[in-house]
Amino acid sequence: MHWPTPNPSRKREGSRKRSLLPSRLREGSGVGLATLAALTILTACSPQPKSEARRDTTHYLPTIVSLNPCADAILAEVTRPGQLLALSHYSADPRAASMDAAKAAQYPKTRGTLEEVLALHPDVVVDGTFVPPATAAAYQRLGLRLETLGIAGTVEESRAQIRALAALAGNPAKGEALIGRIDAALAAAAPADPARIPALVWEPGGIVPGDSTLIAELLRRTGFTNFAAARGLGQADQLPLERVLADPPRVILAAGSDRALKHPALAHLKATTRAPLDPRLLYCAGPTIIPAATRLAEVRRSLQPTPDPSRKREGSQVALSSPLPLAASVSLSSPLPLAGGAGGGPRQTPRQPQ
Amino acid sequence: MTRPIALLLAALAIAIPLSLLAGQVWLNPFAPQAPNAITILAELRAPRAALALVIGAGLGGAGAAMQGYLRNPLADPGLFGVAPTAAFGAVLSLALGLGVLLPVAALLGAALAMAALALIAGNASGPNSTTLFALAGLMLASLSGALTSLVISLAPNPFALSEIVTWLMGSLESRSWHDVALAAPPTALGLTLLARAAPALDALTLGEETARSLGVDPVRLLSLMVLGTGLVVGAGVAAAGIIGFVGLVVPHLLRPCTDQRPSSLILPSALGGALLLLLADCLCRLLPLAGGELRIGIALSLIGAPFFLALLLQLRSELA
Repeated sequence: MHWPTPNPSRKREGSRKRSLLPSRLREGSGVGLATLAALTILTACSPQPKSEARRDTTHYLPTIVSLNPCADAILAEVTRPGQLLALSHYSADPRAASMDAAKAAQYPKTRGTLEEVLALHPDVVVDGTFVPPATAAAYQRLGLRLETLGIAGTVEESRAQIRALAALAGNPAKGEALIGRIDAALAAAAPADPARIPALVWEPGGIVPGDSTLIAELLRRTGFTNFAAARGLGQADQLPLERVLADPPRVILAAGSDRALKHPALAHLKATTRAPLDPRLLYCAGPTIIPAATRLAEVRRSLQPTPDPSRKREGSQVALSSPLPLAASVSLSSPLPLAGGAGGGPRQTPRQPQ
Repeated sequence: MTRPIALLLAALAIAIPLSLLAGQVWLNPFAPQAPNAITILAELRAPRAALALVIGAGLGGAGAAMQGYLRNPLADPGLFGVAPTAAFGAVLSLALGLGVLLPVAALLGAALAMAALALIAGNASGPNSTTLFALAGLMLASLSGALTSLVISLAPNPFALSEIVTWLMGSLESRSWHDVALAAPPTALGLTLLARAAPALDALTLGEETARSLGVDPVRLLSLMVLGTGLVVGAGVAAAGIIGFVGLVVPHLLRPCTDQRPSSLILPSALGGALLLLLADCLCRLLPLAGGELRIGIALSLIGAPFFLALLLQLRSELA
């Protein structure tokens, strides 16, 4: 995290970081932004009155325009009224927003064009790391400070992002308060049962998340293992429907709906629990961690008593009530032959939640 | 004439069981060991093969009928503007976040195109009625193509954008028996209507005036063609997106094996279309790419274009 350095060269460095979103999606958002930017030049955005934040506070609070939906959600939490001049248009779209619709409705939106940003004339522009180079150069030329928000692959990275954005907004205490809420939600979502259940997070097109993503960490923290990673799949790899049927996970968390995710053949998997996972919970870190962890914990709790992952195929309902400490969960299947690795448990090295 | 039909039926009889082996999971046909092997066969591969047969047969048959009706070997079922209009309906439903209604929207789009064609060219009885008809179809295709691009560029978010673009490329991936049940009845009805138009198409090869003197009713023929093609193409788009190439190429490939009459070409073209689409879909199932399954349009061109080029080469050497 290169923060809060407004140096464009460092921003590009940041863009090489691991990412939470599937590459398809990340490219898509770039294409979408570019397309929309071209089309919405005519969409005039009325200039905002200068905020009272500049006058009312003892120390100067910078005004901010956010062009990234993940930054939107964090900035709405860590800014004072009047400080956040506009959010990205994604936050106005219930399918793409990572924040509460009512809260997002309080702010003006931009389509992300340079013109709109110039009309608002903020002190800082916050965007994702995938800013087209020409746009970044234009910000620099026009004297606007550009800050970029990378994609957080861990909870710790997300905490650092929140701290950096809160510091940028001049409200570190609000950032700490948000982090406190996130940590409380994570603590509440930690499972009472030490068993790790293999879960497949399955996105449209059969896309699965890799192990170095935020959702994989949230799975580990809520009593699951990443089924896809245990099968050797990486970030944004594809797991076709046929493979899922031939080697079913204990839990399928369907993030979105496409033909494969709601195919009638999945109903034949009697030993597999299917639970919907709002795809918006996968897009961003920050405050989104709270509903994501809560949802995963809810699914995890509904699965008890836990069948032993290594015996899943036989359908046996072995409740793992053994008083094993959390770290010993590696050895859950060790008395059993490793051949029963259907659940992915034996091959997965569980990480202990922080 | 019966020889190509028998050959194609034999090829299908071999290809259909073999197609059930094509997929991401290897199922040993003699000792299936993978769990859920029956589900994979019965719920994934069988409906997919059935849908490929239904759509391929429809497009092949409709292509043969279209080429007979317009007396132009460059005609294909997409020429009526039905496919782009159906696709526009589908794309609109995706952009509005109403993906559940996609088949209905596609069929509505197809119906709209058919109604427009009937309005524009329905009562034309002059010597240029087929030209008027083809032009109206081309304009409809152009208009709905533009509207589709407009919807894509106005897509509310990147998810809708990628959904639309992926859908437009056409695919049989993850289709179920619901899709077969959706596509099969309109396709069967459409092919029946086209078969009923076949005698009139034979008469039309002698020229429009002669055909009329032989008792062909141009308005009835037109409505049979519009309804038949519209049902076939609309059902195909609703179930699998836009699939080109089959309707254009298959009649060409098979015409030399028949007695050149349109009526004797429709059935072999339907069988040939079914076979080509089934083979292309097997290629899709066997060649997974990093970005997803191979798209059926790409597979069709990969399989069909070399055949077609070889045919052209042969024709050239025969002419020389």
